[in-house]
Amino acid sequence: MVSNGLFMTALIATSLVFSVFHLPQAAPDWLGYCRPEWILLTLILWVQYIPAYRGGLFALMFTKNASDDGTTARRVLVVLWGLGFYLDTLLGDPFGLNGAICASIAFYLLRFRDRLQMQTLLQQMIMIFIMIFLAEIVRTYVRNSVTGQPWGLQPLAVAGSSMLFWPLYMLTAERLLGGQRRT
Amino acid sequence: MVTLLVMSGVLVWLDSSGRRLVQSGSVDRLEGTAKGLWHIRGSALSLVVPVYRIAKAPYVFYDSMSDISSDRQSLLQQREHLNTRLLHLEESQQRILYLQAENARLRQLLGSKAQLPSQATIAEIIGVPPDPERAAVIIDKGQADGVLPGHAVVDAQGLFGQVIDVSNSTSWVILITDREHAIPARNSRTGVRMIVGGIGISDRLVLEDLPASTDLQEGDLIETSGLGGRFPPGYPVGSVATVEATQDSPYLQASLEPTAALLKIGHVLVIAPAATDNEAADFGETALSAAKDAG
Repeated sequence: MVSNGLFMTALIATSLVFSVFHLPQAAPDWLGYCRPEWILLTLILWVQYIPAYRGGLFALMFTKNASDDGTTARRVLVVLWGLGFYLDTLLGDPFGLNGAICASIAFYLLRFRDRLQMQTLLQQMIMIFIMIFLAEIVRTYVRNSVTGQPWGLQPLAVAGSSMLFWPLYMLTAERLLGGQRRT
Repeated sequence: MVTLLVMSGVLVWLDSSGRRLVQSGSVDRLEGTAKGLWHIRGSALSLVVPVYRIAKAPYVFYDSMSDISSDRQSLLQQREHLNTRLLHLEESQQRILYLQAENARLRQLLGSKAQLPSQATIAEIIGVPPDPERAAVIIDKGQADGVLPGHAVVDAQGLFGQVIDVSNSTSWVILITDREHAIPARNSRTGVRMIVGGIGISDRLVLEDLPASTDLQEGDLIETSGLGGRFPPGYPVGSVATVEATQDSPYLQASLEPTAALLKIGHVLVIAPAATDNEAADFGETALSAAKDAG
């Protein structure tokens, strides 16, 4: 079992690196469209499934009492929105785009947290597919408006691959954290 | 939440309009919030470089291992090959210096505006953005090295792309194969002017709106024309791969294979815009004296 804060920091750093890791030249072009949304998967894992793992820098975002009057949720949303600026620069998107996506997903997860806690793995996968598909639709719409990037099957491919990676990703994270999910 | 979304929408709009100006080379026209956002992006670009460097690390490690595992015989062969190539290049260089000087003087006599690249900066590619819909790379030279949006980027084989965003020590380069990219070019065999556009495919470019009567053959070399002042003239862009004329279209359907090694990760040259007439004349004199010195 590893330290909570260290684990989350490492997980976020790894997801950032995976997000910009380019495939070898020999890899077929279509494989590039199937890259899972590592950052959003990490965000979902953190906010929804293991929110107790919030040591280190992440402790700043939470009040001592998790069931407070909404201050925690507001801080999470504002911090994630701010972190979106970094993602915008990393991915070359217009400022504000990734902040809006991250904050919207976190808002939904925090709003319906109790209900989502009872979901089976299959239900989680379906939920992740829908959330990431919608996020990719928004992303592609903005990129289409700004840079003329054409519509294609990318939102579907990204959402599908993220959905398929989710069980492996979540179970690995839980195992590294000691074998049990904490809320 | 609504406030955050509204702020995001406003930011996206402001940043997008600012980036359009920057990418068209009109940084001076940026003002207010858009200018502030451009500076923030420039600073933040330096912060994302470590992530790109880590993502590139496995490839760097693989290359290092390949170098280490090379045997003595192959290294000697490589050295022999490079020495031969160097001799050929030096011989070409001497002729080029003389021809450049002659060209500059003839242009002066004709009163023609000379266009010579003023300076070139060697840069290393340190990252490749993952989005397959956007062809771009990040290089390790920025404003501090004199790199600005709009500067052309070439590699050893030909035109590579152009700088669209800069921070103090890094720059974002859009490749010639990006859908957003177009190049004023000419056929080196016939001199016919044309526009070469990217279509988002890494090994393919297209010739846009070329009349069906145009003299174009497979294998023709297309080079930059220098029109517009963004790209210096004479850099190879690609060779014609396919030419197709159909009866129901007044235009040729033609595609190019880029000459630059766009998929390789290595070094590139950033070329500043063309020099002014006086600088070009000075360059001509310098080149002539260098040619005389060289024999």
